[in-house]
Amino acid sequence: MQRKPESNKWVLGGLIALVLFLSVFFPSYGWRLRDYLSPQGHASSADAVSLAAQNEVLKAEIAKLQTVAAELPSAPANYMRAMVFSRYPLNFKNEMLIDAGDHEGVKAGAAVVFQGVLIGKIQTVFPDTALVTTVFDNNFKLPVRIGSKGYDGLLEGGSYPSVKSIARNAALAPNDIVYAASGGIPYALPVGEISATSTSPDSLFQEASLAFAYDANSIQTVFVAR
Amino acid sequence: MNLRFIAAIAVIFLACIVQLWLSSIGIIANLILVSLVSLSFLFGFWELIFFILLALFIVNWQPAPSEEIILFALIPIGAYLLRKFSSWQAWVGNLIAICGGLVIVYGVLDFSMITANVGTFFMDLALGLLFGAAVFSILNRRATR
Repeated sequence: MQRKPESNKWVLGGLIALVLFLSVFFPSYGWRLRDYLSPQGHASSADAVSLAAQNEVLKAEIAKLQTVAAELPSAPANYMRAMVFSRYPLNFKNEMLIDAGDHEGVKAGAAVVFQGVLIGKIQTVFPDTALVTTVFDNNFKLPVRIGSKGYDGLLEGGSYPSVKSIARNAALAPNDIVYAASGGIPYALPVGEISATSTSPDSLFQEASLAFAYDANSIQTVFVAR
Repeated sequence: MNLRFIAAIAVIFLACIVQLWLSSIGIIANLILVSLVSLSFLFGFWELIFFILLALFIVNWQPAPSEEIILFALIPIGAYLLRKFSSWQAWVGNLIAICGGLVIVYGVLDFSMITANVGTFFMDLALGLLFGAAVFSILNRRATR
């Protein structure tokens, strides 16, 4: 058995102390490192193409949303911009950390929007950052309304978010807009569009799957309601 | 610091890159956790602590501890204790610890994901066993040379 040199212990101790120090005092270096290792993290040219495509999609969205303009919010005056720092790395949740927190006036439960579309709510507020639960999280739930008639439903998050508990006699159609109707969230913030409808397993309600005009994994900046 | 130690650090980075890449194409695999479990069967306690801290530094996504992060720290330490106090051969213990670790992660964080997505869970398990066996085999060979 070869005996380890004494210096190895000191080097190992130093490395442990260094990583511990960085983890406690500079966690953002870890977020940046993971962002760099991520396939989306350094694909700026691909992002630009993606954003241009999204821009066209959103222009089409705006034209479509004008049909329910009376129900849409006015210009988002009371919002603050925040950058996305990091994302939940496993497959059990869909959360992101943004660079605005208690010091900037962020409140738990506040709406988080991207290009005017509701993408989530503030779950936890830290001094300089805040954790956002997105509509793609299994625990995300939000009362919503659908289309110009304003049919009520409950948005249930997940990998494939859907609206449930919609009245059986509601006349739903693909591309109907789904918008927020919940306390604490600006009324009528768009969430997505209906892509398909079905009847609930107990046949008492309708359910609708949703289509989204953005890729949640490529979002770099959001607006948070004050 | 020897070459094996540096190779172990490279394994953690490789696991991170592969896990993030698989995730971007819709395949779920907890390779970072698996790599830590395998390393717990190959290295001493303080070296393992360094690997765990390094992995948590990369994986953590918020400025506060979470149950996921606590699990990521405890499961490899549990695997290390399994290695110390069980009479299994290391490669067998490695595979058992990977299975046990993944079941614990799913069980604690969202057990319904196993029942709702059996295929996803078993794919995760299969990828984890393959990756863990490869890591153990390569680094263990270096150690015994």
